[in-house]
Amino acid sequence: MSAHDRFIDDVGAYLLGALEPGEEREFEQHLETCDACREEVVRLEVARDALPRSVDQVAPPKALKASLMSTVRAEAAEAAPSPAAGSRAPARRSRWRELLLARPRFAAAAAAVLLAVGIAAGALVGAIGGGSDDPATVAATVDQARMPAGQGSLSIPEDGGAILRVDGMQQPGDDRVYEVWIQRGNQVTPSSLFNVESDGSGAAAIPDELKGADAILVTREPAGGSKRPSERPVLTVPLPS
Amino acid sequence: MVLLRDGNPDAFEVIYDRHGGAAFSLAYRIVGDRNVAEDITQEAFLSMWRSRVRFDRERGSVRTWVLGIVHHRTIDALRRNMAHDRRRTSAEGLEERQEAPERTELEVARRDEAREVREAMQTLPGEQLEVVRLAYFGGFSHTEISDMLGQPVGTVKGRMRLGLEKMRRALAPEELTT
Repeated sequence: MSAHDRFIDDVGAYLLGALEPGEEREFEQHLETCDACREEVVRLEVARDALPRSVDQVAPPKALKASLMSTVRAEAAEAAPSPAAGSRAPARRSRWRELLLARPRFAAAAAAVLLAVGIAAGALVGAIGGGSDDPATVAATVDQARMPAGQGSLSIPEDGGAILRVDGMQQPGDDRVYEVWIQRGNQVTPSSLFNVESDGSGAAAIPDELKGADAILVTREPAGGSKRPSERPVLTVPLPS
Repeated sequence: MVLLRDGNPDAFEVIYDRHGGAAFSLAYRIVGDRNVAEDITQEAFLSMWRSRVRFDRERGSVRTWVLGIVHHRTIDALRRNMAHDRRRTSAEGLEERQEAPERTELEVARRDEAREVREAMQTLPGEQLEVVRLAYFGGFSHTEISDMLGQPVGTVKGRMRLGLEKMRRALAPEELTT
């Protein structure tokens, strides 16, 4: 039996992701030297690629797009050149305005929080740069007993949309995610969910109204999130009152 | 896709508008839970946004690229038991479907396409369709399927390959390239 004969029946399982990890590596090594198996993979790939198109279409929650695009636009704005450079800054403001128009209550909340942050300089770690478009950044307090290398900060751009960034965080555990909470007095309300990369870094957009909020909290919760925190916060961002 | 490579969020939003529904539907079909499907879809799209340079048009359509990433992430989550207890086996959740009037044409096209692919799948003998579904939508390896069905590993692998071959023949190529 040639190597090709031995591997040819693996093509289907390979395309369906059904080979065991060791077998998959072995098969991919074989593909590098076997034209016939490569051609068979390409030939049958169209059938595999059709499978996801067979499912019933279900409308995603509208909050999914809002949360996703909030993070994407914040990251794009952060990666963009300084406002003085060209025409990107006005376009960015315009998109943020669209977001604010879609969430009028958030516009008021963001303005209120910015004012509060500006007044309470003691809690303000530092604004990045001096321009009016730059976000204020508030440092997080991390429970060092549970997250020894953890750190985080909350960015509140002037034109809306708070972003929590973390670093050095441990994985939340199997079947678990990090959940962001907004604390007002003794009440907490759930906000975004997020995971961290293998290096412990991560980010979460917080599209909720922050008016009157005392702090942003983060806990580890079962996948899908919880209605109330199931542990003491591993991370807290105090918001000046 | 040039705009996406340049990190243009508007271009990315267009991709989400066009393929986000199909992506969420696939994740939901696999995990059977809206919240988990939502998390997975969001993570998958964020990973596309952050590693967008990896898209290669030579490898196929944008939709195939998007659905491939979502499938990979969903199966990965499933294998980490993220959603096993929540999985439902039927069409439960139908009452949660919402029509999207502004995309009616797109929705109709998607439904027609789904029907055509399902018809192609129905041309497979039951034992081939079963192993294809268990692997692709269930995230089971061939050895797990072999144990489950009490069939030799070689038989299971053979059925997978023959099943894909039969589906390929049943599908008109032009339906798969858009």
